[in-house]
Amino acid sequence: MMRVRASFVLDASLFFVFSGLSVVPLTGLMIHEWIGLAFAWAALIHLLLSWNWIISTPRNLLKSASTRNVVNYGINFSLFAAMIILTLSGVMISRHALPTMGAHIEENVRWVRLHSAATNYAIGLTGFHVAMNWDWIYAMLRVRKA
Amino acid sequence: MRTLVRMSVLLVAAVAVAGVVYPLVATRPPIHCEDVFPRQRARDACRTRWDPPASFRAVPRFVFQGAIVIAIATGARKVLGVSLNRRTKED
Repeated sequence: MMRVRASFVLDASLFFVFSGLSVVPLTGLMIHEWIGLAFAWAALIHLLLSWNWIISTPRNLLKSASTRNVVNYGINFSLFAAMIILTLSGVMISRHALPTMGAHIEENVRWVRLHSAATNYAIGLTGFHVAMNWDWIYAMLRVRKA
Repeated sequence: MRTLVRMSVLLVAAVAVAGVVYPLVATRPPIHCEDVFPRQRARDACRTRWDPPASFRAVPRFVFQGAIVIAIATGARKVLGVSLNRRTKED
């Protein structure tokens, strides 16, 4: 139960941080970049906590593919790809975090555009991801209230 | 140890996705911020400085951003159907 609660707290934090990251002026670019990098690691932990599902679902898809599982896996994989593109493009346009770490990359606005497009896709896919796990979120909120 | 292996698998998957995207963008000639945005907007579009009043003004947008995700989730539940939202034993 402790692990499930920790998972819920992490997921809720990811949701609020992601909403914050979508609005750069809220934190300013420098904090946006550092929080963005931390978010990528937190998302990695989120995936590690769901590891059994990630591994078992493709096997189940091969055996008996339920529509829900196919749709859910498609959404989750797309969200994973969108987050990787967001992180990669974010690193490529970094003006504070990366130079602080000693790396300098030539500015290319194509990365800015990709970052912006990936953000839009990620917002939509996060909505679908929340929709697919709505019952679990609702159940966790009820447990916390009780 | 098991966690390290799992992290490595995820990082390999991440590198695979990045490996598809990176050559598509990085191999093309760079274009600069000022080339894209009109001169009068370039200062805003390309700025990096933190501005506390802008942060304050961005709070409603932050709330709106979260609301958009919840709205998409609510809409998706209706469109995808209740059956898709029910977890099965496989989940």
